[in-house]
Amino acid sequence: MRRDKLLAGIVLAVFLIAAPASAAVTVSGSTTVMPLGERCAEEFNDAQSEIEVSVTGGGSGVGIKNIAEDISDIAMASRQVKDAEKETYGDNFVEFLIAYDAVCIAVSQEIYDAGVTELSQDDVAAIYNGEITNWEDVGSPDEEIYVLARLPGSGTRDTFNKMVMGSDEAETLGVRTYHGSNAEIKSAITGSDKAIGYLGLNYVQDDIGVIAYEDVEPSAETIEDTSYPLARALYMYTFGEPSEDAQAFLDFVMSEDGQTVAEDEGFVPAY
Amino acid sequence: MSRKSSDRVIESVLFVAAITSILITVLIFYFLIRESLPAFRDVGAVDLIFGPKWHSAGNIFGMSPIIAGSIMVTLLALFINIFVGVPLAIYLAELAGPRSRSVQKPAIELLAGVPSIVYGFLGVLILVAYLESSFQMMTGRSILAGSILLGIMFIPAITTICEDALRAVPKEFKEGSLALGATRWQTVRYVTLPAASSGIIAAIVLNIGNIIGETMAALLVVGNLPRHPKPIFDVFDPGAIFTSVIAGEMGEVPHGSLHYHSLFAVGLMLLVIVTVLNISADLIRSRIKKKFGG
Repeated sequence: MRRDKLLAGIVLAVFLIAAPASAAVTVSGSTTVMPLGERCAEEFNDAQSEIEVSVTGGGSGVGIKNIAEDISDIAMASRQVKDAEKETYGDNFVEFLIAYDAVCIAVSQEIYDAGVTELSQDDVAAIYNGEITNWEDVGSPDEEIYVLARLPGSGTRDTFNKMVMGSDEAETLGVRTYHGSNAEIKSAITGSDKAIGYLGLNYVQDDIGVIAYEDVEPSAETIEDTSYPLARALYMYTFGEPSEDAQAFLDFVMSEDGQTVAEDEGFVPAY
Repeated sequence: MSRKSSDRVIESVLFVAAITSILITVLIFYFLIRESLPAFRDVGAVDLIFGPKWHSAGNIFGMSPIIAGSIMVTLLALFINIFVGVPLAIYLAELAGPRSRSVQKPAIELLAGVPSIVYGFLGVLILVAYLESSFQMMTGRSILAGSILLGIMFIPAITTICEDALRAVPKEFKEGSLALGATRWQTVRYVTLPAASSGIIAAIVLNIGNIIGETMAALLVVGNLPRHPKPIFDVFDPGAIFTSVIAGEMGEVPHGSLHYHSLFAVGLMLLVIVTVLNISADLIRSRIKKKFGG
């Protein structure tokens, strides 16, 4: 019994002593960017042993706060740093473009099959404003429209509101329910037979009717040649110039290997 | 070390532990007040609490839809909660034989151990879909869905406290009543329940605090729409509650912005409400205790 405890103590001590042997780089922030950050960290950690990168979520705002308060080294963000944040913390943010993403507009499979395969900006805006409330008005059977949106603060929401509604302060009175993540939006669309919502490109799969927006379908090609209007950039930030270790990880993310990971995760490489 | 001085060391350790919990409470209040003050200053206390619209992206912060949503969800949930939880407690304390107790008690404890996110998950998959199809709703995500989920979630909490209260009623009371020729139900109704009422009321009030403060499950099914339903008591409409607003918006908010401070103000409101509930639970309990000498 006593020997067991002793052994456990030794094992614990070894861990505690061994852990700081490699330099630690902490990354936190946007849940949209997180899968990319995590996969890159995994590969980066496997490839070398001097630097240990750990990734946590929290949201863009949390990530930006964390680097400004020196809690973590790198922030992941699905939006650029806002003026309010520059005012609060000072404008020492250094920006790294890491990949492109797109906001896709999707409808329930039933609606897609009934013929709604594309919508113009005016239609989408009218639906989200609450001016169009029935699918009949956009060429589908008589059925009320269930409008989904993301909660305030979401980078996806900001992008959508800015580019479709004209302002990221748009009130979107047509929205019925607000959701906390892309995954929730997706399950709500697939769970309904009359829903419309928007979500990141990397969440789009076959069981959901992604429609063309302004006659352009979202895809790697249309994002790359900038013909798809709802594309956005994803970033990593440091507060002040990055440390050597942080720079090494950022270099990896922006390298060919890192950009391949981005592609695997459903984003569009930036380099 | 002499016995006396070791006594003193232990006493002071216990004292520090006792002080710590008070200190943490005070610090939480201090921090919430400090962080929400700018919102009260910039928006104005009345506008912030009673304003008719919460549109945070447009910097409009009025909590009344959130407060109304929270009240509706809580009342309805409490209704479900009491109507299942209290009879269950009466059954467990007064009627159940040792055999049925030995099954029921662990089952209830197991129910209490189910993580709230699991409830939320089942709520989205089963409850929301069920409400959608049976009430012809556009979406099952609604005040009603939140109420049902939270009402069920806190059945173990209310049952456990109520059962303890019922068991604490001295045996002599019941025996006296039965000896006078009262039936078992009459005894429960006129002797045991009144004698245990302080505990039961306290359990109910504490459970209001539980329900109003639950986050994860509610966030997934309530719809998070900070707008007054039309008509205002329409529980089939989506709504927003304190916790869903904070949990949903805090992650991405720019720190130091008015939005950030307003979310802290929502948190402060919630904490004040829960504190008032807890204090009144204590008051009610002591008052009823005096009345029944229980």
